[in-house]
Amino acid sequence: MNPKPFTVSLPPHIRSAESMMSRTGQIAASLSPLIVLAAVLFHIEYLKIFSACALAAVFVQAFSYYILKNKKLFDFSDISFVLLLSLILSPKIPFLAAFTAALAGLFFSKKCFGGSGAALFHPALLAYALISFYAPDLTSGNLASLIRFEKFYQGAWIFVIGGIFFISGILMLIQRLEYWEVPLIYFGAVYVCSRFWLGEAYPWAWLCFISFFILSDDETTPVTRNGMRIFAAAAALLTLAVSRAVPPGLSAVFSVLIMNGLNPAIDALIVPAAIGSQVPVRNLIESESHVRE
Amino acid sequence: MIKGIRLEGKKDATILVWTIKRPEPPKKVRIPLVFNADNYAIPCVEKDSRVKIGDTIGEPANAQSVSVHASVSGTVSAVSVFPHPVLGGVQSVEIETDKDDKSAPFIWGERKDWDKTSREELLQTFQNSGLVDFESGMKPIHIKAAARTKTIVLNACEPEPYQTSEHALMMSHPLEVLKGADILRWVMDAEEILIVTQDNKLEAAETLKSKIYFLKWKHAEVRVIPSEYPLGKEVMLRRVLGADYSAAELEIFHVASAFAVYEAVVFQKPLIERAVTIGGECLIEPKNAWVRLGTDLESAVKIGKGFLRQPGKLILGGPMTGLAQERLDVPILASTGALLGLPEELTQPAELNPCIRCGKCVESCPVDIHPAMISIAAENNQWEAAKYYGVNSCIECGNCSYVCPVKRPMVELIRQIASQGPAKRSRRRKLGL
Repeated sequence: MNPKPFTVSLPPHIRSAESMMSRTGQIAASLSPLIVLAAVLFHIEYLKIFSACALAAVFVQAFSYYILKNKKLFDFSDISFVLLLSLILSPKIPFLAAFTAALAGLFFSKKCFGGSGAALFHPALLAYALISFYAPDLTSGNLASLIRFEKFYQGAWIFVIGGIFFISGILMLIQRLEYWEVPLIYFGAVYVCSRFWLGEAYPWAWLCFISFFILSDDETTPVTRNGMRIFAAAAALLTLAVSRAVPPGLSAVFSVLIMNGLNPAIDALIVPAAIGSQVPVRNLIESESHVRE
Repeated sequence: MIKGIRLEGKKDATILVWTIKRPEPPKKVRIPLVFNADNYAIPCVEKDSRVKIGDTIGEPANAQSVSVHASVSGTVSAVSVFPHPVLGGVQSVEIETDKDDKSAPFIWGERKDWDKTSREELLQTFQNSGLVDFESGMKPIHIKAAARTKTIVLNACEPEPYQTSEHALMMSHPLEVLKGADILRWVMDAEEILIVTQDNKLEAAETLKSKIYFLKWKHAEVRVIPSEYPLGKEVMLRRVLGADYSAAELEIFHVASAFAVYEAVVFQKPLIERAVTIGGECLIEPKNAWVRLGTDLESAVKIGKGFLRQPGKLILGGPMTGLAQERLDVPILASTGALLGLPEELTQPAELNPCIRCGKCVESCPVDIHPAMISIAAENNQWEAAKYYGVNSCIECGNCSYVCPVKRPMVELIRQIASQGPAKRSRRRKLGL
């Protein structure tokens, strides 16, 4: 009747179909229009950057597996890292520089702090920041800054590229990989303030990229929805403040990296109020038990 | 707004027909005499005693406990410690069924004047009939109904997947359920009856509404809430109704409890059986059936025509909060609403992967605590941090474990850290353990 014993474990006994693999697949699907756009615009140059980032990720995974003996989970978030970094790095960057930046970004943002799930800084942004220190002139010319800096991409191209950015962002929201308030707060605050108060509008493709794809990263942003709102608002204010000193693009990168550093504090301070905090369940149950006793 | 998650119902297989099947009695039953730490009975039969269906086999040990009755006619083969699905091993009475069982009456005659019976007498009837709440705590109904209240709430939600026994009970015996609730209302001196169901049981809601209309009752109302888990759980139901009622104004009973009250008072039938969903992908013929209390799981599985394939898990109760069983010789209890055979691919074990801080658990937590941080605190053995993030308010509904993309054992971690704190006793009481 029962040749194999039944498994015994604590409830719940069923789980949702969502997994890290499916989440990474959703992110890749959202980014795919941008990847196609980058491949069309930069041809082999994009492939070079992509290969450098992918090779760095494989190297770090192998290091984590064989040297650090971390065998618990294949880090699917590294796939998102490769896709994102390849989109924000300029195709003019040499292969070795891109590889080194990606390697350093992954290592210093994540592996230093304990690996998967423990990243303090966004690895792609850290890699971008490192490139900016190495060769500041190579930070422009990427996909997000094309609309602003390259004269060739004017007129109809603006709408094509901008439309593709928005399609990718909307795909992120539809798949519930990000709260809709986050891009609204960040994009809205930075764009409106820079346009009407600072006199010069911030490059909106960059804002799109940061608000839809960087602020949606799970590991480097707060866990709660309120925390995310605070994170986005503070990052927006910082972006505006920093943009007076550094070029657009870099200001967003630095402000998000600063907020990444403050993320543990936000998580510690912004705690959901259990059961509305008016009538805690525990008190309710205890009072009932006393009545019955 | 109260948060919940929409689970795939998987209820269709057992509600193709509303009939609750009455199968052949099992060859033997093992009826536990212990319900929980306060509620247990003292055996009043010995080995080789002959008992008829409904005979008392255990006298209540104290005012907090209830009688236990023979669920089959036959001979007592042992009064000893036998396996129990929750408590491990407890004193039980084993009865081997004889031929008389089929001819034994299920109903001991109709008592038409129950409404003239005194409140105390009805409470005594509840105790003598062995009525307990059909939940994991199995609190005696005569204790629960002793306090006066304003509103009787009938919990007709069944929020967990697969479970349909109470749905079928409402559809096949709506009048009995309503009258049972009315008896409870009368006993508890309540003003009204509120039947709360979920929007995946609209036909049951309509059936009850039409019966209330024909009974010309002004004191009963049916309310439909979204079919989200865990909104149908008692703790959450109190919160859902909290806008209109204070905690002291409500007393929540299950539909099956109301039905058992009706049978006990009107037909003088003690609690000897209950409607159980025998289902899951691994059963050949999933169905709802009247299962005698004390029936072993092997016999219960045979009611569903056996296993189509070897289940990965055999669960007593729903898949979100039920107890996985290792062996087939444990009995069906009054709190057993379902027996599920789930395949291995659906019941993948949890893995202690690192938290990726996606926040899904926080989003789905119905009591607004921070399961992600509590689980991290549990891994680091930090009770104070877990307390700060609300571990004491956890109701162990399992939502966090269900939604976690990296399949972390969230409930296990929360239980582990909660067991280190001073609130352990109140938590155990809250969870009915």
